[in-house]
Amino acid sequence: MEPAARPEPPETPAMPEITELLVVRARARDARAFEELYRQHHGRIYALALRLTRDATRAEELTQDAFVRAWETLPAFRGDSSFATWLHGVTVRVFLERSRADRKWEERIATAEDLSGYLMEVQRAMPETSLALERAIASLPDGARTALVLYAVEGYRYEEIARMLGLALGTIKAQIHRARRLLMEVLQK
Amino acid sequence: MNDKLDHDTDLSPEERDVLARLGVLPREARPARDLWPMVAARIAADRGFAPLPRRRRLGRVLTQFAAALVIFAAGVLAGRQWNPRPAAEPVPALAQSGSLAAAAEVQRAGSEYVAALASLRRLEGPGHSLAKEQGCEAAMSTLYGAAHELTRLSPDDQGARQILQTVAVTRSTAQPAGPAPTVRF
Repeated sequence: MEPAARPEPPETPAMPEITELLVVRARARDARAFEELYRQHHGRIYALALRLTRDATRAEELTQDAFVRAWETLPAFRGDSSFATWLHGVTVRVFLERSRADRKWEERIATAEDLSGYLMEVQRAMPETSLALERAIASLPDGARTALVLYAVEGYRYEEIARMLGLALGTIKAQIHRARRLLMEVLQK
Repeated sequence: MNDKLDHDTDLSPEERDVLARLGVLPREARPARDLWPMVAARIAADRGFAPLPRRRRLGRVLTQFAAALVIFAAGVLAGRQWNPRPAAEPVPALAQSGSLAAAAEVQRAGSEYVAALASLRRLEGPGHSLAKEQGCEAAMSTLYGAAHELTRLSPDDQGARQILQTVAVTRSTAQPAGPAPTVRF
């Protein structure tokens, strides 16, 4: 079940060369260039953060943390992937760090009733989405949800997800397989 | 459509359908508020100003604030003493309505600002150099803030825009050289 080559997620609505130029300037510590990168990418990062955290406040925090971390680590970015892919990886890694450090919050949001606030925010921020699917995704456990969002919603390949999460390829495939099964169970209820 | 699904041979038709629907969910969402100011503040705090140890930094900020306050108050008092005409006198009749009162307030504050600067200029002697430096810094910040507000009030005002740009350039070039990288906002 090896996936075919898939084009990387669209870089930004702007021209890719403009993004490259902005990245070069931001790496040289030009905060105005970094602000422009923020303006280009914050919508995608917030959407990802919202699905990962399932909470508007946490999603805002994660978005901020991800961009601050990106600023700090941008000099180490060598352009092996697109800036968007790299930024998604930063976001996911910050999320995983936060999740490990804040288990109590994760436990609080375990029940379906707690998802009502999240779904209201989803409806506000992405009015064209399917709430039934969003609810089903949100009901998945952390690992399965993260892998499924990156694979099925964001369109990354197994290898890219494995690199982002720092996990073995087999682990990612197993997580996505499990997530698919759980998702079908939720949707068939 | 997610073309990698074509290679997932173990997918049932239902799974294939659900994954295809996931693939077209929106990938962008708009936060309820602009998050950039918080990001910018954290970046500036982390990198832009080569922060001193917390206790020392707090002490310096408090000292600067107290010095600026004293200088401003002294300037206002001196301005009133040396210039007995009340600053708001040129527009006493305009103080009746809200908008005109706001305009009169701007004029009064402007007069006090100039008077305070004149008072600062009169300081002499080596003992006042730090106070003058801090006063100038506060004055430039006030001037920048005023020009910024003026450009918002009247975007086509070339004079205000020129002041804003000049002060911004002056302030950025006046940053002390150091190991910390420059952050421009």
